[in-house]
Amino acid sequence: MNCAEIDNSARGRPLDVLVIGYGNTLRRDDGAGPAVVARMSGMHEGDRCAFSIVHQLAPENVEEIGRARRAVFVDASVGVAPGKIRVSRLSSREPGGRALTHFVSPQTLLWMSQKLFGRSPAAWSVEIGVADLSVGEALSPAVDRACARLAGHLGHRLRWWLHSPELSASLNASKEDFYVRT
Amino acid sequence: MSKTITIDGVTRIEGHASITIDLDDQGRVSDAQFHVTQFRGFEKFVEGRPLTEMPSVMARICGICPVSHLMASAKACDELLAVEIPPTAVKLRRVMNLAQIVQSHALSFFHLSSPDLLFGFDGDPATRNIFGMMKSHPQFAKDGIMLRKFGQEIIALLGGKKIHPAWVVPGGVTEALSAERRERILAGIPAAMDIAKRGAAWLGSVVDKFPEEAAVFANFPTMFAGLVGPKGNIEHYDGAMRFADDSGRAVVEFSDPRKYSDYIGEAVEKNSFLKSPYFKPKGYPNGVYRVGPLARVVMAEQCGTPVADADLARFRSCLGRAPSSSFHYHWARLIEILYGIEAIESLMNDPDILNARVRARARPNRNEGVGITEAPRGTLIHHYRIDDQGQMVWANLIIATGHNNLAMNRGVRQVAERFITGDKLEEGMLNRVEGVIRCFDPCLSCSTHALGRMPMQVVLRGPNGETLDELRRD
Repeated sequence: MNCAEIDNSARGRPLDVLVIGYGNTLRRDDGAGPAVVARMSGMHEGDRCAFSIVHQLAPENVEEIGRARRAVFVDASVGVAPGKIRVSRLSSREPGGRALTHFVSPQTLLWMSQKLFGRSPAAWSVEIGVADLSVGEALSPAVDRACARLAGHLGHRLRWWLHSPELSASLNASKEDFYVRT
Repeated sequence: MSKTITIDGVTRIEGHASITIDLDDQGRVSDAQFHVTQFRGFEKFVEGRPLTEMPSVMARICGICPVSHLMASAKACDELLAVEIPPTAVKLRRVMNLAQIVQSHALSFFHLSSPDLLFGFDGDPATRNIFGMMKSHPQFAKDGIMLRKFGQEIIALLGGKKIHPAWVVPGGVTEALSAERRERILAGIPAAMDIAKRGAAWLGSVVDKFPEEAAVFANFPTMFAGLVGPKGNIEHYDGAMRFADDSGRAVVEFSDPRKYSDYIGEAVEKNSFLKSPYFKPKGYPNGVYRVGPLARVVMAEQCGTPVADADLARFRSCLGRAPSSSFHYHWARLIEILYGIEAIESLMNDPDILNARVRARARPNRNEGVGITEAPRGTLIHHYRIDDQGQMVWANLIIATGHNNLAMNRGVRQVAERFITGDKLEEGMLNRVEGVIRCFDPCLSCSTHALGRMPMQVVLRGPNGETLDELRRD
């Protein structure tokens, strides 16, 4: 897996779709999000689509999120059965009183985007259930298969968003939804 | 009746530091100590590993400033190889180190410290943080985010990723800079400079509105220490190590990094895992000195770049050559941001910067090596010994925050003496204790920062351990 961070988000340009995969690639399945996005990053879909791989979400990610019409956050989860995938719609949420923060949530980033840029994208959380979070770089077999499957699903979805502008435009981006068969 | 106040959980890293303030029979502060209660252990567990792994392993000390450890470690390893690394590799390392300083200073100033300056130290703690700032001062918050992103993107463009890039290696760097990446770095310069200028102008306009904080935030004469360039200019990657007196005048200067132990002693307190380095000729604890942006700005004759030098002149006209208050770390940080952006632009325009020769290869040729660089928070020293097979047998690290430990301790006491009276604790006192520590921007295990408010518990106890008063933040 390519562990290098990917950021092909053409600076300053509006984006139709932003896909962010995040996680620690040195803790096996925690790197599922980066693994999915690394698989997708070979897609050549033009400069209105961007892929990012980051170790964790941080306030700096708000800039690219603020330019996107749709954002997909791909992460590993202990709350989902190993190898399963859960998709859920995200809405912005004002951060609570947490004083220490290594990490900001996707919902906080959406809130920040609205505050700082006056807009936030339609957004989804895609979680992949993990089996092994021990030290190492390789994904467990079930999660590896799930990542491949998810990359395919997201790729189809992404092409639909990008190449069906008449259909895509007819939908209100803030209301549309998608599902992944698990 | 003497009492002890314990601030348990003053921290920028998962609650691993605390503060103890002792009161005498009259309720006056008799002592104050800043304890770091976590343990890293990197010096020990690298033993037996090959030197070639050291930069990548040591970078794991920190998620905020891994680049600083990469640099110091790689320089120590360069010494072990006894090689002169290619000039282009030196320039590229400099660019990455400056980008690290810009992004880290942006975090410290815009995200962590400016809420106190925007809302006041007695402002509502519920909004006195970066999220409150996003509501009331969105442009300011956006500036901080974009400036930090600028520095991080340069690190990623050079090293492949923002955190823990493996690009800096013993002997140089692994990959030359491409023309396309150079252009991307240069493209970000104007916007970054606009932000830095706005921040510096704003701070310069409000700095005199905090006379009380400036008066007691670790405001005492100390020595200063750090690297300086060949003409006494500000320096962050190489150069001579200098100790200066409280007026900024050089006392000791040496170019051989291995001489550091002639001048720096390391005391260990029983109640803290953070060592207390001191200037050996003055002994412990009198040999207190400060490192970091304030020390570098005080000691430098000039920055050597026009915009930073103009702001340095303004700094000196307002505060003098060597301000004794640590409150002025903030302004020094902004001067360094200006300098960092200018220096990056200059290096990117160097005709040699795209040269493909960026790595010298050699086997170990020495058994001992020392690397010294300037991290955002100050001087960072990595000292290694290896066996003839190139395996680590011993390591000593002196982290920037450690150099400032004695000054932070005295600063906490100074703030406590000014703001604590009797048995009652006030929120403003808590925030000012945080504030004086925040001036130094400590990175206790070099891993994290608080966003506006540290989780903190202050307990005022009587001599028999009874709780007299308690304030708590989660």
